[in-house]
Amino acid sequence: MLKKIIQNDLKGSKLVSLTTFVFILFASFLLSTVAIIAVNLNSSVNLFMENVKTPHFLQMHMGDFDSERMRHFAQSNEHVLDYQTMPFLNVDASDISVNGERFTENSQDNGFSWQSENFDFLLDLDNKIIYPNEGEIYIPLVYDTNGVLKTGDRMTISGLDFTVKGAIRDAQMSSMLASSKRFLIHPSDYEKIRSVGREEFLIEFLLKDPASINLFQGDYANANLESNGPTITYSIIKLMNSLTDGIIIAILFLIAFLIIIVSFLLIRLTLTAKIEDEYKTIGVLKAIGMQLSMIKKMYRAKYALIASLGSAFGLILSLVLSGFFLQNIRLFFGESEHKALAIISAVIASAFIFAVVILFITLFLQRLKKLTPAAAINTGIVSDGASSLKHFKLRKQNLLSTDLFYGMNLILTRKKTYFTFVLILIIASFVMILPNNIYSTMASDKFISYMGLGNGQAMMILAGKDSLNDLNSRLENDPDIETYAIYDHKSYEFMLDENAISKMWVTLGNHHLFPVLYTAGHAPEHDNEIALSFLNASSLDKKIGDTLTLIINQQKTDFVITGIYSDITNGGKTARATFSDNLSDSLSTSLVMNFRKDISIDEKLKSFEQAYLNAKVYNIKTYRDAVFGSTMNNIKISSVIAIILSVGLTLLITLLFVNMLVVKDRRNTSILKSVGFTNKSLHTHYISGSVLLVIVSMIFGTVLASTLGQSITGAFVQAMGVANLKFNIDKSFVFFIAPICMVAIVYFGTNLGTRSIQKIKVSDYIRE
Amino acid sequence: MTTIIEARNITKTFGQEKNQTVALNNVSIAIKANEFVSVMGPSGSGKSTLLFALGGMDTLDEGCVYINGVSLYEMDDNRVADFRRKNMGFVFQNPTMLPSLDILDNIMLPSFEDYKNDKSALTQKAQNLMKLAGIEGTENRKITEVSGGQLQRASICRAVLHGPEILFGDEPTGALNSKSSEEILDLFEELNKNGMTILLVTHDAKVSARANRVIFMKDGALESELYFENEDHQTRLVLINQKMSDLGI
Repeated sequence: MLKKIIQNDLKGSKLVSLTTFVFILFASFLLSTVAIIAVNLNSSVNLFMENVKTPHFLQMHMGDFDSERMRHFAQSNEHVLDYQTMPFLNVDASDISVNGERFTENSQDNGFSWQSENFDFLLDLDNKIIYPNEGEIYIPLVYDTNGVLKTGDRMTISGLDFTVKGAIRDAQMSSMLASSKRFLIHPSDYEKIRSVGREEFLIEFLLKDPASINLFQGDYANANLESNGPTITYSIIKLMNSLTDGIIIAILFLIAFLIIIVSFLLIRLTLTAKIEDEYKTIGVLKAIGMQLSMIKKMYRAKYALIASLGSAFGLILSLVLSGFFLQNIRLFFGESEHKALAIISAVIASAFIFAVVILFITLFLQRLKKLTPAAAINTGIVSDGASSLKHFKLRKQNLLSTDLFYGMNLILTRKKTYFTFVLILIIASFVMILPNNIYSTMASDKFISYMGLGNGQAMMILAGKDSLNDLNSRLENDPDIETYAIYDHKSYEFMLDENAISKMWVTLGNHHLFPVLYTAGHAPEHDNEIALSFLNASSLDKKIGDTLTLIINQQKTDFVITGIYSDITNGGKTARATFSDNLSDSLSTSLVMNFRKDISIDEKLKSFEQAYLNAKVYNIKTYRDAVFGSTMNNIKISSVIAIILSVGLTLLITLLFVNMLVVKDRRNTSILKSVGFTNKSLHTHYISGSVLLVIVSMIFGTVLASTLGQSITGAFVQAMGVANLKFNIDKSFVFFIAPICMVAIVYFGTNLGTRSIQKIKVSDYIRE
Repeated sequence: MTTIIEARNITKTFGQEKNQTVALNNVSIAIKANEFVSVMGPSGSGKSTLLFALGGMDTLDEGCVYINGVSLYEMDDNRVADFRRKNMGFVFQNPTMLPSLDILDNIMLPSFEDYKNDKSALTQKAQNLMKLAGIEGTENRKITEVSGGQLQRASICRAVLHGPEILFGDEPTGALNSKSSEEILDLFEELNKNGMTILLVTHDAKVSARANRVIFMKDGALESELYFENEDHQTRLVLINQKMSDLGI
């Protein structure tokens, strides 16, 4: 009997059944794929980091280095298992040429190193340790995949030629989020080019127990060892390596979640309509003694079939297509050793989708328990709660025509029925607008302020201060330059508490000329004032008005915190002050400038590049594009996909929903036809309702995208150092294009869905 | 009297080929203005189909229907609906009211567009009609808050509020108790006295006895008819039952 019920059920609702099947299939596909990627990513990254022997603690340091003192510390510290110091030679892009052309990739710090002896190995694409011969060079994998360099290229560094032999997997610096990239060469070649760059040290420790990292970090800080550079731990390296694919996992999971919610809404919609249609029949079945469980089984049967097929096909699809999603993981980290576990996880994910669908239907059908046979048979009244409203009367309103009134009345009297539809429209609006908001925010000029750069047009970075005096006088006398500011970047020790000392990057200069975005307070104005980046303030638990003690030239000096700003540079942990200090070494010097109108910025920057070969010169927008270009491009693509998805989802749901309403309303439609309402009037009832709902949903969706969406995005970028992210919305899209698009789609879908009204004959539904 | 409804050779079939049923078989009929006509016949004789066909609420396989000389089936759907709204009223066996409106809004709904600028006049007219139908005081009630008889009377009020020339009724008392039935039929007689043409479909001889013309149908065709003038109710009943017996209905 169940077979027959399923067959008849499927025959009567082909489109809805197919749509539900497709939704469940996609949900199962995405969740299974998430499981496969997550297991493989975790396994590949773990295995890769094991092969690399990634350090648990890494201190980058520029400047003098007392190797004997460091060795003594390492040997005497109870947590240390192994210790090494690797040189890292920073070379400016201007000193590198590829096949005779200038090397263009200068948004990253390019450095050279040789193969480690004990740990932190650089591996080939088979995860084997590489030992290059003289004249050979191995390039960062990301340069190979981006097409910046390729195997066989000739690289020339300070007159010394190298042949690119291949790409390396680097646990520390592979990610585009790491600002440095490591090239691998022979130790003797390293010596030959040593004089052309600035040498930095990677002070690396392997710990006996990785869990003791915090204790070790405290020991290192208290020992007052070399620390003129960022500190990186094992967990941060793992996070950076996993982040790109982790974001894909998060996005796929989010889409799977949305699809399953839409599937639930769809099932709820179709089941409600069906139960209402068969209200009397259910009453009769109960009256003749059929058990509730059997009745539930009858209604669940079709969905059980659809859910099992959808989940199974989704699983198969994910197994077939997961290779595409695993390409990046395989390339950067190598094969996973838990392939079987990945498949088992995918099967569990798929089964989970099936179980959740069945559970949802079972819970939904609980409402049949309350239905008494007498009520169902006698009244046959549908359960959508449609009944007249107390204050919204046709005879008491003057604004709306009869058709518009009836359209509104249908919505207000059947809120439960329309609730699902509105919810989907809100989700669709949200999905349509949020990625666009993120993109327009990142593309706006204001976003540069979050990068700690202020609102300048161009920027120069000088490694030392040698050419500063000359540059300063040139800028002062240059009529094309409107404003400029010089910033000195130094590293200072500061008091963590009464005993502990740590280090902080401080930018000195006038911070009023090119203000960054202050989330609280203002830029420092006096010599005893300091502003902290958001991440710094958070980790030090400091607020406006608190005091911070810096150690400047061995003197403890107190500073009052005047402001907290967003900054994503240097790991997001920076500070800004105005005092002068000519005694401490500078890490670098930067200049930010604005030009007068009608000046070609690019030509001007070219002249600077030619005049100061050691300087890195950027148009700020180009710099932003270099840092965020690929992210922005991905978000733009996501935004277009989101628009297509939203439009598709809206059209499909509108079509299905209106179609179901028309079927459900056949008797009422017949009544209206019998008393002289035209097809045009009946169309107007549905269209006025749909358009009203899509407008309301758009308002909710837009507000949610700008509030909840902003909070979600804000929470995500907060970890990078951007506090209180404020969306810079594209008004023409949010207030004009998106609403018109949604209204047009809903109008079109409603029109399409109500076409069958013309075929409804009064005699078919009123005749007894 | 002028002919208000005229059907010429109308044929209507249901189903396809082997399973085809002829509901109306080449039926021709003319009804004059202000007539009170009842159509009788056994279940499946085609009486309801005839009513729907004459009201322009169905499609025809063959033939044509004229209302006041206007050919119904030559108009498009929208024009037929509009024509129906202005010239006809319908009452069905079970009340056909919309659950999202209260009783008074239900009654006023089809006439509302014609009284856009004078809603109070329409409201007054509807309330007068409700009083005449004996359902005053139910204006603000939901359709689930009144009895079946009251709901049917409200249906009649809706059907006649805009002052149509013709009132069609498909077993209008079929779902009511005898007291309610009598009251509804009294209302029909009252409307007929005021000039309205009434065409009812029924299988109840008592209902037909109120009409001044009774048409008998069998197997989709008109078999016979009776005309009444001054006969009392009992005589009409005897004559109707006699005719039904003669026709084997």
